[in-house]
Amino acid sequence: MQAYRPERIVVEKGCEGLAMTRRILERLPGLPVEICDDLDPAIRALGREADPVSEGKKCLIISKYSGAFLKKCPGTQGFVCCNYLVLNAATGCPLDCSYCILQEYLFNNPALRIFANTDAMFAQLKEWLAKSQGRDLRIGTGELTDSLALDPITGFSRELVTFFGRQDRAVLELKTKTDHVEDLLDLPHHGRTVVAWSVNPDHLIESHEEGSASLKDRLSAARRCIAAGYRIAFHFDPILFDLGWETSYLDLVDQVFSSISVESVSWVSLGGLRFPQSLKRIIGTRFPQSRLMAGEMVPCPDNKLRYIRPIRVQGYREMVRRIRTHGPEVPVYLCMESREVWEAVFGNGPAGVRNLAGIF
Amino acid sequence: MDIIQIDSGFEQIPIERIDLQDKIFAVAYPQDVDEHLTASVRDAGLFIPVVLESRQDRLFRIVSGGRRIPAAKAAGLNAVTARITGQGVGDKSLFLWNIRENAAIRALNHMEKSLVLHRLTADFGAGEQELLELMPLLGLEPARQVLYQYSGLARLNHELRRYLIVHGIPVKVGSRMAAWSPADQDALCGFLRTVQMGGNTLNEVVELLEEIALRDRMKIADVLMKRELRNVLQAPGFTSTQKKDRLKRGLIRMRYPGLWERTQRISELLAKGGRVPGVTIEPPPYLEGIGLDVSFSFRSAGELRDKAERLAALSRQGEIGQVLSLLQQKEER
Repeated sequence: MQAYRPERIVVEKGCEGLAMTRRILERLPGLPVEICDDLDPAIRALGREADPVSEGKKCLIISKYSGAFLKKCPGTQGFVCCNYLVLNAATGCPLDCSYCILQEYLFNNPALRIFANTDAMFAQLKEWLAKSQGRDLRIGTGELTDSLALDPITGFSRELVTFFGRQDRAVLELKTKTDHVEDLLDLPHHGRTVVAWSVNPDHLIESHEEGSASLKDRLSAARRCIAAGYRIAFHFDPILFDLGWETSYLDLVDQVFSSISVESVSWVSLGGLRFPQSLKRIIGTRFPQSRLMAGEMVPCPDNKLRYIRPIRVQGYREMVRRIRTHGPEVPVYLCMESREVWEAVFGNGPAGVRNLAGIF
Repeated sequence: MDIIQIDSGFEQIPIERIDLQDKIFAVAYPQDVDEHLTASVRDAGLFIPVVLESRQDRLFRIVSGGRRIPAAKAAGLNAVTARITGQGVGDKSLFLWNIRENAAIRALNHMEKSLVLHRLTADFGAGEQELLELMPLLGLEPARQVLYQYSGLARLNHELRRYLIVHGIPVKVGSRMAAWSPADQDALCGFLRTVQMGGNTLNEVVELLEEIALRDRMKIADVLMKRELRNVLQAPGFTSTQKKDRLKRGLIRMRYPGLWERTQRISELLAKGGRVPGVTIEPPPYLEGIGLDVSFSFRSAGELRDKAERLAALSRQGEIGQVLSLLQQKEER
């Protein structure tokens, strides 16, 4: 797949000399670069465009970040949380998935933004790890961007993977829909990095995940990572429990597990499509022909829309059954689901489900 | 933007010399004769002179006064006080001048803003940047999203344009309907003639219709032609409110068939199990939970005991268990 190339770059004054900035500018020659004292006018101008989300992807902002890089995953109110930590080194994503929550979450701040003060980020990471002695941490970079989509221009994952390779109580998860793994293959990861792919049936990748790698390419990248000694993970997320979903998703499970050795899989998550009500308007405007919103989705206690519970429960059960035929011991969990749904699917909450102790 | 000089003083112009059909500079929407304005003119005359452009055929074209002059005519006036601009000023400049005058003395409604933006492009060749610069004058944020939303309203048919104004329908709802085909818009108008809906209800109905049409790969007009919806229109003796409620229920049933079917099944089972007077038993909203909510109030210990005993009796019947099984989706392990 093609590496990301914006149409222009805006660099916050003071970042010009940072290693990350220099690397990005070297890898993106020939683009207009503007050095700005104040980023607000550029961001506000994007917000006035007809489609701020698309325009935002064309503008790469390199800036410092003065807040906390590492946070507890916000999860969703009243739903089961998997105690994940998120490390945000960038916000915004070059891919353009029609269902992506970032369209709404970053609507008023749509530029793709990379934080170049990575020294501060690694300092914060070290501090967290020191404070969490004795407790295993799972840390992911795929909350506000795709973990690997920007790697061809940032080379950031090389630094991260190497850093985590020196830790003994923390695991880094790189969650992606790309096949940008070449840079990872020669690294001293020491088993502390799990490379994870969000997967969907090919026809849905084509219609809903613009700019991402095909399923075949994702699985091929997964095999290369396994060959390089990495453990891997899969997120069947978002699952579109639409008419005829069974055939395509159960086939997808077969495809995934027949392409890779199941022993290399650290975990599998399942998550039905969900989004806040406010995203509906954005999807309707940006993807008017998309049938995403036509599913039988209703408001849940966390104010997100989900397929009605009976559809979800039935769907998860079938997915879990099919996954178990390939790997009876693979840890499988549900993402952003209620305890009631967990119990209906697994007969128990996360604490009582086989193999999840290392995750929850 | 051009500054227009109107050199003439005030003149009395006979209304018969004004071409009332020439609406090239019209901003007002709807363009009906305004009864309140007519009454005001009848009582007190015209306070503000109109502006006219002289034409080669010796008639005058209205630059500003598109609502006042018809009102004056309806009030029985034969002439109006006017300032005259000669030919050669340029139609676009005169239109802009009229927009400015209107915007200075009143708030334009959504359709007027839309038609102004649309006509500036379609009739006067204005570019996008020019429109963005003009938008603050119309009280709009100079953003492309807003521009497209407003200019899109011009694709509404006349009936929906009028409905939007008369019923105060939000722009976001109007702009959704504006993206519909003319046939779909006409089909909705057929309902709106019988079932009056405000902004919120219309928003819900529009959303349900779009989602059903998208899911079933149908035209919205065909969804509206379905018998269960047509029957709502033809139901004798129903008020507009009752028809509105039934239309919404019909659409919800079509949009959420699985939820509807399960909710109906639960209601039937609860009804079959028998009701305890003064006690409400309800499934969780959208069937998202796994238990039933029971609510009642009591004013004495005796009343509490009585209701509790009746509920205990109800719990021994099979229906409550069936409802709970349905909600909990238990499976054999």
